[in-house]
Amino acid sequence: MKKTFYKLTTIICAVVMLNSCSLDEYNPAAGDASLTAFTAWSGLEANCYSPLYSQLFSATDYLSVAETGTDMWLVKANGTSTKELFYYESLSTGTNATNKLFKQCYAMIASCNSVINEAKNLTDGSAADIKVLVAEAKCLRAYYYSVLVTQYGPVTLNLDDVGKVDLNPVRATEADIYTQIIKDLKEATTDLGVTPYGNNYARVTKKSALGLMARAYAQGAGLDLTEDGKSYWQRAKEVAEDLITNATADGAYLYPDVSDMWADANNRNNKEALFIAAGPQAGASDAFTYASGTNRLYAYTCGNPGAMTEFWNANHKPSDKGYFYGRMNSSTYMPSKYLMDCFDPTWDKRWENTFTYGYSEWSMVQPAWVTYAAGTVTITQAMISKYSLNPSLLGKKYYPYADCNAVTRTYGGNQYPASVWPKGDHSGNIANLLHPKKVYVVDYPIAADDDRFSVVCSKTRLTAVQKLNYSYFIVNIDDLYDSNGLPWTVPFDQTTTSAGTNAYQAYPSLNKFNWSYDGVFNGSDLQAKYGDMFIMRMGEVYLIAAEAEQKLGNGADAAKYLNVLRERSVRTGVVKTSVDLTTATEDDIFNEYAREMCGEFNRWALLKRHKAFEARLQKYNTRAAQSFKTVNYYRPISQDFLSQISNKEAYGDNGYGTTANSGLK
Amino acid sequence: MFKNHTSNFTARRNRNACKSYLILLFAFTSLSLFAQTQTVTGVVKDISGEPLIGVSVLLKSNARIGTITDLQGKFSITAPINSSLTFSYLGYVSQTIPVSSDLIVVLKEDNQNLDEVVVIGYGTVKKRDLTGAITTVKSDVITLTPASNPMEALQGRVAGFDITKSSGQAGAGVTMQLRGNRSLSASGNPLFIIDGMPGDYSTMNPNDIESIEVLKDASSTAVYGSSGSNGVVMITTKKGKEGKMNVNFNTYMGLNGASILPTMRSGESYMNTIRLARKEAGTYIDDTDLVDPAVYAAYQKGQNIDWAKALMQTGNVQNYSLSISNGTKKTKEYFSLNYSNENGQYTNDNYKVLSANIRLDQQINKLFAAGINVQGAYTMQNKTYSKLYSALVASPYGSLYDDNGNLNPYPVVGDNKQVNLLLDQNSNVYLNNNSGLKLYVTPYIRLTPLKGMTVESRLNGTLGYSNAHQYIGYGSYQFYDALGTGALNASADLQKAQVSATVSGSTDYSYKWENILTYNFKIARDHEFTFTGVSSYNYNQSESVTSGVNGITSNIYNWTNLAAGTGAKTVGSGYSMSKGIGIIERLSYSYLGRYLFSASMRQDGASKLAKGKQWSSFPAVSAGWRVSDEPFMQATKGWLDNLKIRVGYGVTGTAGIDAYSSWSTLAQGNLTLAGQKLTNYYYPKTVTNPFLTWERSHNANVGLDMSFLNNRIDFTADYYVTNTDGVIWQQSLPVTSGAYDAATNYITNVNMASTRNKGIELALTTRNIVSKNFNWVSTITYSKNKEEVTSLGSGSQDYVTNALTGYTYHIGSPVNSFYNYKITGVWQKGEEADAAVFGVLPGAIKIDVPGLVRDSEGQYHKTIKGTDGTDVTTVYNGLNKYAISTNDYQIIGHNSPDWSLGFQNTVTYKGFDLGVYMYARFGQMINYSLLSSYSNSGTTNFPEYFNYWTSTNPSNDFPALNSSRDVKQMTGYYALSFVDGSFVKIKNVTLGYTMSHKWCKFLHIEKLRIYGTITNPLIIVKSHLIKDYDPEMNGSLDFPSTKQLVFGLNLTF
Repeated sequence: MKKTFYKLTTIICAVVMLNSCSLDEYNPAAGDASLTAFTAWSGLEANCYSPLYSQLFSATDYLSVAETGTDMWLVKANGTSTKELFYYESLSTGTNATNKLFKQCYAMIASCNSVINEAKNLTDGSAADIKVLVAEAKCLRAYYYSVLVTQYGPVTLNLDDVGKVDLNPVRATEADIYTQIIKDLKEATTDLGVTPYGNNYARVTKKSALGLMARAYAQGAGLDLTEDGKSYWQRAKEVAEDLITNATADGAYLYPDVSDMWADANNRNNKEALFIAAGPQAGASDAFTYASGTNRLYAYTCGNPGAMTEFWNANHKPSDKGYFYGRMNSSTYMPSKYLMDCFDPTWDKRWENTFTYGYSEWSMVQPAWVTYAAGTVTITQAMISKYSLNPSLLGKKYYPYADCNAVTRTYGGNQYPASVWPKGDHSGNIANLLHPKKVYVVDYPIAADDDRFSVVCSKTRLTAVQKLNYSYFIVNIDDLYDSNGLPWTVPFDQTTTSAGTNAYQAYPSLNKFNWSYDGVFNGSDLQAKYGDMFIMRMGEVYLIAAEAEQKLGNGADAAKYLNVLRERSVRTGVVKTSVDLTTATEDDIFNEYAREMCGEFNRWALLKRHKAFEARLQKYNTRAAQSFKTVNYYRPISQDFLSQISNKEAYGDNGYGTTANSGLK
Repeated sequence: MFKNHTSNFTARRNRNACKSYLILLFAFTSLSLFAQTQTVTGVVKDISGEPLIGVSVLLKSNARIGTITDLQGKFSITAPINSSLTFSYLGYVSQTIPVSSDLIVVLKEDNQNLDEVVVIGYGTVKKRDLTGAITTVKSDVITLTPASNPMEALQGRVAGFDITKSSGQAGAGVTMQLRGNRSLSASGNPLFIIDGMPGDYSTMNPNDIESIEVLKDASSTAVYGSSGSNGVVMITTKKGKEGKMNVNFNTYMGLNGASILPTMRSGESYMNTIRLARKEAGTYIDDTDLVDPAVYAAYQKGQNIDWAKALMQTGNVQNYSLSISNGTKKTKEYFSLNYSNENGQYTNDNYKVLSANIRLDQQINKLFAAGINVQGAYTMQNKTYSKLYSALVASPYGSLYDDNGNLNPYPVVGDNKQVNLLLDQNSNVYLNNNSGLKLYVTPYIRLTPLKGMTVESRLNGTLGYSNAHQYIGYGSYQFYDALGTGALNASADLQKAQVSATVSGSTDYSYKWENILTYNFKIARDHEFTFTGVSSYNYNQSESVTSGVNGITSNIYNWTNLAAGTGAKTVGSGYSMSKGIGIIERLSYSYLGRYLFSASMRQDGASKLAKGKQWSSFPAVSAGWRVSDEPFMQATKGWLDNLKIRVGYGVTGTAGIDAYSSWSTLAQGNLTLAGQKLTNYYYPKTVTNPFLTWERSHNANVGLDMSFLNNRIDFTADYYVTNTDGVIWQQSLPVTSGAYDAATNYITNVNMASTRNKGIELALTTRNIVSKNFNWVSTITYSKNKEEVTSLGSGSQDYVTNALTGYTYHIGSPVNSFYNYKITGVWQKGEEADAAVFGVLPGAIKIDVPGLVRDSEGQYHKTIKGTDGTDVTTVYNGLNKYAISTNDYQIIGHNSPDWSLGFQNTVTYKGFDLGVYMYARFGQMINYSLLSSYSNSGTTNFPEYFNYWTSTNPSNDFPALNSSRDVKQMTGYYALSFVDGSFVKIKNVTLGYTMSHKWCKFLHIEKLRIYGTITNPLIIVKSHLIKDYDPEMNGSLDFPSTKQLVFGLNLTF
């Protein structure tokens, strides 16, 4: 019997031997890339740019973290959309936008580290290229850390390569993080060129590093940090002034006319920009396919004039397939009364270059989709009664203001660039179309008899009688806010005899994120457009210079910088120097930032470094003031992240109550 | 060897002796034919005294002489004096009785199934010798439910095997889970083995199946090692039998439809709700902007659309299958063809299967046997785009057709938001189909070198081709949806850009080679051993290619001419392979057939794992004790037919690991920066874990088999505990160490968690009434399982959520748990002060917050314990509001049932048979999205039965109907969709009639049965939030389960 078993075992073993080819895998699709080769290494470096447009500067998440919860933005109809960030109500570690931002900023830091740390092991590549790319990685790493430290305070400072996984991360001090940011930016400034690597304007250059450095000093100054005995305010001033003084040498630029800053023609490769998050470019190149980010910021920051349905033809309501405006149906961000009050349109072109305040019908005569007549609305008795229009308007018409073309691009789909019909020209002849710098910038003021506009938000408060002088329906911007400065939740024009109108939803629309040129559209997805976003631009450097000077006690010097921005915004017919300031207070700084930079992802950081939330929210955002607590100076640590580490309790959530320990010193 | 030779020689000598004896016997019987004869008459009855018709009465000495009983059970035969007669009848124990005058023969029913052969891994065993937990389902049960997928028939019939069908789509499969979920990420599907080798059960012709064995405990499945954890389903196909040629023809056809659907708001009721929402908000001005003016005009004109009715129709099913089997002593053949065609409830939603099965077994000589088994199936499927969910929530106004009967692209002219959902029903504008060919070829050769020993070498080659095509053309739903207003007069260029075609294909190629040695021998007569040794090698490879283009110039081309595309093109291809080796030894021992013992060991090697971790062992042991065979049980013989106790323990694995899991290299792609396409490199999402190994399930099973009262009652019970450790979890790595991209963490597979499943399974068959004409048999299967996560690995968090499935793992909770807000109702008027603590008003969703204690009206407190043990207590009130966040999630339910029950009753009366099958599944929570589609403004349509809160209706079901209070901004709104999905249903009722023997004989056929089956005639649900919905669909809605009405015919020649 034993023998039999022995034989059997031998047979089995023989069969197995026959079978036992190795257990190796063959995986040709994985390739053989290694980080010691320049191609792969530089490809990893390029990848470090990937979150900028696709995640940070195209979604409302980062915008809401960076801009709301401040004195500038409220929610339409005092609603509950993202109340966590607008109003600090229920803000917690699980709040989507802050939760995501943490990941978005950290995602590429380890890759930057690998690029920086592994450069020494490269077996090929030119030393010059390597130097620049390492500097780019340092600049990007500094940028990502600067967002993290601004929003979350003392977080983990990781300088290790990808692959070194730490399940027990520890926090660094804010001072250490700023020290690292400044170190990286200084080294980047030395090694980066004035023209971008590969002539690609989305790559950082010397001016980017300098601008970010000025911003980092200013932000760190809010923590009273110093460097070699100098205050960070002093350093911010020096760096900003240096960049302004040597602008030409550093490749930096400030448009002499603010309308050029926002002109559609200057959206790509904007000269004033220091650091660009470049959007996908629809067109003939398949490069489009490999760019990502569907920018819907316009749709979130517009008003909702379409709620007054009588003023639009059924087929092209702004809230629907709005080929002209884009699809105005998300309408969340409403400018605060404070922000509206900042603007004096009698001299300041930044009003119409920031907000679209007059709404209109539009046609598509060029592609023959919507005839001129179809873009025309006849005024009925019902409209006159409901909107208290001048009775003489009965039977008159609102004509289209814009005409959209429709062309198709192989990559990116349909493009609907708009042109403008001249006032008073009802011919519908496309030869007469005008091509302004930006179609959403409506010249101020709109003539009382301009029949291209049906709904206009008025900066000046007009009485019912005065309104009868205008052919369009007027919404007094002041009326949009109740006595607490909060948006109306019901029609403000309700009386005992009438139910009111939807005018309370027709507030001015931020137009910094809205463009109308060939290459910027996202096919038929009219909610999204692909314009370039400016992570930093020269205008901010002037503001930082002014802010630092003011903080250092030099109000007059601060005013000098503000005046540059004011003078370039002066309307034709107004003497430039007449709007100059002689000295600047902290409020002047806040106001000028609001006029120049609103919507540009910086308000929250500004209020934070001035420790100004309590005072300013009390005045300008009363709802947020009710919930704001000191703990809100730091954003909640991401719940996703806390759930992935082994030392959640020790790390702490910045005081939001999910961990007993806040993790802050 | 020498000894064996001897025994072989002995056997041969014996055989020769036998032969001589037979010749003598034959001579004797031949002689006896000429002996004196007599006419024997008699009657054959069953135990109840009912006469048995058609019993064959054969002369024992010469089977060529015989007769059958008539309608009164009487017979008459001429037989030699002193001879014996054999009475045999299907389903009864045969008897041989010496001739005498006026015989009264009573035949006993044959319930003695202990000698049945049960298929186990790499072998077979008599049911009486079984030590594992194995349930056998025979072909009659499998074909009882007309379905293209044989597994549907097993629902509720195998205790512990949870089968649900969540979709009524043509060709939709089933979801299976044996004995609860053990794994976090690996599929719960059992391993399917068809005739010992891989195969595709879903395209199998149910009529080809002889039996299905479900191997439930690890002592049975451990021989399948790393893929045995989810149980093994062994399908044995029919093969040719020695004797008469057999031709079977089966067909059924029927209707497939009449889904129950919730009644949606329409006409006046839809508009009224929108109006009410505005009034509740205080923003009602007039009707002008309630909805789009064009939509309002359609409403005023009374143009109503019943979307669901327009979209759905009654589908149909038909199936034809023909099999021919034949066999001689040496050659056995089986051949079958099957065609099945299922048309779903949507136009262009259909599924066809054409399958064939060939099985050939040839005994070459005493030493060698060989054979081949070929299973092939071709499937064709058309899929629809139109979906019920979109239809239900759509605006109910407009006209679907214009005056000429053509579809309106937009049901409301002038409103381009709602595109006509019926457009894609036209196959000229929209096509989405796939087809596939699967071929399994399994040749084998078997050697019988010694008595009791076989060596079998078998090879399985699997070849699979599949193609998928999609065309979105001019005039499709997507076309109008993308172009909006412009679609009606857009330029050719613009139109073209919306038109796209994609073609993709894949080829799967794999083979498996197994060598099985079985040796059965006895020592000292009472000690029987069976040794099994197996080597198994498998290789799997798959390739894929995909291509697509935009800008097809004509609908005529559809996907057939990609070169005609003028727009952007996409191409892609992929390759993947893996291989594995298994070595198995098993020894079974039986003493007197009373004490049974078995032990096995499998060594598995897999290429997917990192070097050094590639090999793993899976042992098992089991024992059985046939108590009823003990001498001391002699007294019970009168009522107890069988009593057996089984115990088993084994280790199995789960294959939740993808190929190349141990591969690490930089990946290459493209990235565009400022319009410039760059080559970028990045680290793959999965960080390699060199320590990764299989999940291992340790299962212990105790079972009891009993039958009583002459087998009138048959009872089986099993209790099991399965502890699974090293459960693989794709752990997200903290982003401070980097991430794959800004939205995706790096992940790594780690053997992190442990789970436990405990359960009890009962199966009871009772033959309640047994008589000649009337029989009633009931079968109840009951299973209760408690699944639990027992550890989540050191360092991981308390709640781990699987982003893919949405389930959350938490120690002490079931594996597939829902972790979300626990909604306790709606804040009511009078509770303002409490609601204010959460910053909300009456009408908002009320959420239970774990750990939050209500002190008094308007004041709560919560205490958190820090790592250092200190308590931090915070008081919350109207000023210091409590921020309800995802931190306040709790385990609110789980998706696996607590228990399920199948209850089959079969009544036969003469030729009629009636089967009623009931199925109950309790304790599972489902995610029913229609509930969270509730719209506070009423614009998104919702069912009439939704009871929403208003200032005058204090409902606790749905929050405030108020156009200013966006429900989607309300904390917890998405938890509205979690609901108790418990139900009881009558799964099917079958009424059949089998033609009497007399008529069959007259028609020269062997058997004819006609039947009708109705599926899902009655469903009773537990939760009041579910109405007109079958919770077996587990929350999905697009393809509702149908009521099938099927008529069929079984014919045997």
